[in-house]
Amino acid sequence: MSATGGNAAEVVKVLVVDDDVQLQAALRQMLTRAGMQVQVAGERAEALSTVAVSVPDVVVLDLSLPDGDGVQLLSELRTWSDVPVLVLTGATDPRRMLAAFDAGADDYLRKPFGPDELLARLRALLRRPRGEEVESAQRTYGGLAVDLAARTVSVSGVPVHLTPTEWRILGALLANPGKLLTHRWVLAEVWDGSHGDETRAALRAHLRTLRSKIGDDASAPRYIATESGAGYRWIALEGAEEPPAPGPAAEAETVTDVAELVHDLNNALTAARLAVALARSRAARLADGAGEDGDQPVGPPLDDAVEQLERVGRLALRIEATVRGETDLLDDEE
Amino acid sequence: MARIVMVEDDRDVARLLATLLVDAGHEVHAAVDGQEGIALIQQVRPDLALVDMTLPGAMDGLEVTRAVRATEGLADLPVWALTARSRPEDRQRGEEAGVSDYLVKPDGIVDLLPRIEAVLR
Repeated sequence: MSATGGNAAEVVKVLVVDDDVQLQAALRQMLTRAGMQVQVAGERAEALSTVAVSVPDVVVLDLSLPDGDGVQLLSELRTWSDVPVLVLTGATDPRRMLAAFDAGADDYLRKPFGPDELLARLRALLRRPRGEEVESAQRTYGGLAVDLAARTVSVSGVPVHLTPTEWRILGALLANPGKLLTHRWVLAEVWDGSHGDETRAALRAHLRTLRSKIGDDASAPRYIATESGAGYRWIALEGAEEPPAPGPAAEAETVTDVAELVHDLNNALTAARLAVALARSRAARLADGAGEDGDQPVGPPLDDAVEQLERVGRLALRIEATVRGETDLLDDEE
Repeated sequence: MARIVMVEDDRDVARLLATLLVDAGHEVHAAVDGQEGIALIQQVRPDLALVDMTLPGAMDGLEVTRAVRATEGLADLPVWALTARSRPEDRQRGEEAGVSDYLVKPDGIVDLLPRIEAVLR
């Protein structure tokens, strides 16, 4: 954090993010009277750029914004900033509040609220030690330049357009440099766990496009490495010299797809083995105890074993189709 | 009876593994990702941790194991890796992180119960 905020010698900078003009004015008055320097943003993009440029000490964020949900804004902000955020909400849905906390909110206040309560909460937030220095929203990796606040990307100075989904994937990768992000985690992070029809196949398709746009190559990655059967990892170092040009493109995506499917296949076989082991141990206990109370039935684990073997069959078909390049003919169940 | 923390993200494997262990009289605590897993291990202080090496989120199984070893009082906790990868280089990475033993998926998983009995003895 750039300013302690708790130091009386420094003026605390507050960014209010709210599209309600009346509430904006009321907040500005309350906070200014308390000796704080207030900036106001009425929409998501303006809020992100203000955090990047002005580096406020604390943000007051209304969850309902016209150009995107406040929760989404928080997620984006948290990919590069740890500024304390107090969320204002009129929502009665506790899930929305929990989503805001999951996205990185530090505290919340339900509307309506009084100035004393708001100021007390802000002071409490400003007293909390922050873990790390604020990171810059601007990152460069050789010829690749990313501005997370302005949401711009350029490759060797040439602007590149990313779709919102590609942005979320890139943001998740950049927020966790060097870490393995599994497919399941990225899917949950990028689609907020709410798009059951989004599959690993869709994620791979987005990754392919993203890589192509930023000039990366799955077979000789400079930015995004694929961990076979596991997930993806951001491997570029910030500020590094231009990495060597990638080698010739190979059939790496197919290899990756197959590796992931084999990983799933392995889990299905493991689950089948476990189900059989469970059925056997229950059968043995039933034989020993001749129907004692507490003995567990054998039927359910046998059903599980059959179900897992069916899963194995579906995955085998999918592996065959992937190798043949015929995945369009399959559904996305696995 | 052992107190066991299981960190496994595949729902079917986790459910069946937990049922098998509970049926055998063990106390099972389950987590589905690395961060939840290390928190649970530190809280529960189990007799054994079963950790999938390929986990969702920012902490994979190796990182969970390193975090266990870095926790006071957990240097000797048996941490068994659940993994399909058992090449010498995979095992070396595991050993460097502090993995005590391996259950190689899929076939090695059936040895689980007798091996737990052996550890308890």
